[in-house]
Amino acid sequence: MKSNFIIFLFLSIISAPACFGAAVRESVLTVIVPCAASVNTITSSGNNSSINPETGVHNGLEAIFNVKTNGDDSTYDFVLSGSVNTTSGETNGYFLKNGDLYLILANKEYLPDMAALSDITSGSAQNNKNMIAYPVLKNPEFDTSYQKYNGILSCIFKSRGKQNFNISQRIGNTPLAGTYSISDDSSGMYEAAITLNIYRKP
Amino acid sequence: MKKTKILASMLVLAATCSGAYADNYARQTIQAYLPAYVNIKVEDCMLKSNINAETGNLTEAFNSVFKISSNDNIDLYLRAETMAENVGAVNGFYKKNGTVYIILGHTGVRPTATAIENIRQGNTDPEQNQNAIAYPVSSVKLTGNFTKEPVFVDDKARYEFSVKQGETTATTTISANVDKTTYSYNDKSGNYEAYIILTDTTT
Repeated sequence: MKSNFIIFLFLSIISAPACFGAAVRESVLTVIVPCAASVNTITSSGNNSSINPETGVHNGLEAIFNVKTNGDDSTYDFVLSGSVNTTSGETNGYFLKNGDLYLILANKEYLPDMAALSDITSGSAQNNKNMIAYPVLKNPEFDTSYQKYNGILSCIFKSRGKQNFNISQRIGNTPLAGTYSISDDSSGMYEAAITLNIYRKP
Repeated sequence: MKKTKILASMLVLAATCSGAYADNYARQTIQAYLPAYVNIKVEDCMLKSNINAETGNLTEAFNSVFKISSNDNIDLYLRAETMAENVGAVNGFYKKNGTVYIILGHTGVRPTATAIENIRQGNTDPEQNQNAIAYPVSSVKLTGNFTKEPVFVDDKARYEFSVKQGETTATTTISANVDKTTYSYNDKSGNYEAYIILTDTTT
């Protein structure tokens, strides 16, 4: 019976809790959350407009995007680009004149040719059938600059650390002089595409 | 000998970045619609000539010129109006023996609607069309971008033609030679006038 008691005591000792001074260590779990960004278009009535045929003035036009990101301007470049269709395919729809950015709208059914584009971007537009240029309005909510990105004239803006925001690019109502003509610009739908790209900085 | 087991563990989870972005670009098409439209300008709002009191002939022919700018194929209508007493504007074109004429009415003492209608119906008695004098339309000619030449539509008493996108000029020439059945001493001295109207509407 004495043996049984000793065995019982030994078993009790080896199954006893840490009150005997066992070492303690922490388990550290480390998770690295990567930067991510997503962009979607927002459909609104401002995506479509009408043009006064007497003057070429439209009654309001804009592209709107929603951006969600946990990064910031140190991580990403936020780049807007414009494009239009011509008889030679899709081409850059932005151009600069006296430091101001303009967007070209092109007739969807009667595509303009590259000669029309060259005329509009020449600085003294006068012969540009089925293309109409309008000013791109500055967005006061964001710092914007106009420069080439990946070789293409673009509108680059700063998010200023915003993580969930809308950005709109509004197009001014009055056409650039020399780009609208009653007899040269066929009736129909005029359009351009605005793309917002989010590029990770190297 | 007391043994102590030491367990230490560190888990590091690192997810890779490449290819993890669901959407890093979005594209939106914006559109503006330009409707069909025609702009009509008159080269000279007021054309003047003089009437030879003895013969009733004009001293020089009238040339009415309209400049048309269009962004689409458009149907156009050329009509004339003469002011009648108590009635106002009435149709100033009529056709007789294959020739289209335009009626000019006195501006001070308006011809009656009956007097004008007498001319339109071919009444050859000048005493029945006092203060209204008619001259033949020599031609209505188009230059530029058009798809259909001017045609006089009898029951509408107007010219109809069609232009396409671009610039077109419509010239209406009024002959100086008076319709003698419409001129007599019954026509008071003074100014005589008619309106030539070019429009894209039928009203």
